[in-house]
Amino acid sequence: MAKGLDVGTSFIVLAEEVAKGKVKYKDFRDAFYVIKPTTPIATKMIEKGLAGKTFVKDADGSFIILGKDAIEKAVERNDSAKRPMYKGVVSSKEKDARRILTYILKEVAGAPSEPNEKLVFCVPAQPIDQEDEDFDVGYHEDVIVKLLSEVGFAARAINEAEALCYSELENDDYTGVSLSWGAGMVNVCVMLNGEPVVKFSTTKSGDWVDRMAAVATGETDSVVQAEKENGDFTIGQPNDNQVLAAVASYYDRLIDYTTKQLASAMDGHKSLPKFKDPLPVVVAGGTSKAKGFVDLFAKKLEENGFPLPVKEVRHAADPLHAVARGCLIAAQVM
Amino acid sequence: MIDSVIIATNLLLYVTAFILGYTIGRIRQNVDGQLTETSGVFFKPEAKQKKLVKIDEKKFVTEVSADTLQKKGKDLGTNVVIEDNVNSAVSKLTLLKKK
Repeated sequence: MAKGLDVGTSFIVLAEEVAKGKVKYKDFRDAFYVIKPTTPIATKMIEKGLAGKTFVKDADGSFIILGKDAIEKAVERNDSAKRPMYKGVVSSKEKDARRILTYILKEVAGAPSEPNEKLVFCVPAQPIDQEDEDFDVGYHEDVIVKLLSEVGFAARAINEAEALCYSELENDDYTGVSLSWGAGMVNVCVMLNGEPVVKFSTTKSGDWVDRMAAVATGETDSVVQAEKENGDFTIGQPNDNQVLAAVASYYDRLIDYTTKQLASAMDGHKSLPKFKDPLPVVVAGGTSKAKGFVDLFAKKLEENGFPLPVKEVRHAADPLHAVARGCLIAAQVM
Repeated sequence: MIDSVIIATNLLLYVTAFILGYTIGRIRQNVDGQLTETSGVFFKPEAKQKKLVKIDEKKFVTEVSADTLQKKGKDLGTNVVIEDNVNSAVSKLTLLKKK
């Protein structure tokens, strides 16, 4: 048996084959919100109010609400939920990040079905648009390998966009381009016959849209995120809802920025082979689920001079689970 | 007449000695210069060959315990089972990786 784990900034997804032809996915919203009661009566009242929610109690008496319940509670209090991860790696901004991520990953991954069960998890590539000492993929990878090994898994890391290629390019002889649009960053991989030839990332994605729209409208990031995920908007089109109008506008700018970065990074890249046929470009991730995303992305790729021949731009069959699926495939090939 | 011949001879001798001395001096200077240059060339590669000693600044992964977190609410995450055969992808990729 083997498992695949997509450790994302916004979602953690576990994939495992439960029967022949059946894959089980466990989705968990990667967020937490801390409430620290000041009196024993408040402790009892808060605990009562959290009935039916996902939460843990810490040694100092505080309640840590986890997952989508954390976002709902934050919105209720006109606040923003916290993340154990920031821009694809374990957050150094939150002092509780590692402890909470450890708890979440152990709960989501569960116990191995056999000693040293193979588990492949994804990590981001080095960004091309940011020099940041806090961005340390090696450290992030070590933290996750260590905690999964403690549970009893034989854990190995794979690049996020490479995993996406393994999931989506089977009918293209594993040759093409993949882009994983997560919350924190966009990961890119160019693959030739199953071998990744170029891998990199950019550091603006869904969270950037939320942040910018929040600043423009005076709302919190969590409110914008909730509106974005539940509201009806199409990228590049006007909207009566001010938050959604801002979100649609910033989506347009994000796609423009990313396609320009893509064109610039790949133009004259030494590692790029000469492809004889036009390539499929596959997009996945929560950020890519917005209406009009794929069409605008395809248009901007062409406008901004993407240097590789493109056959088609398509959405992954299951955009939220595609990376975890690729990790599962990699774990079974390993 | 004899005096003028002697003076001319002496003058020629002095000029010759001066030219000879100047020429020898220049040659010596060049030789010394070359020696200095040679020694420079000799040490430069040695300096280049010197291995750069770097300290390993990779962050140390310390023990992290989540034992103080006591589970209270419902289980984490939502489960969904999808009809999906990953075996053909695994077989195809295994073949490609063996090539």
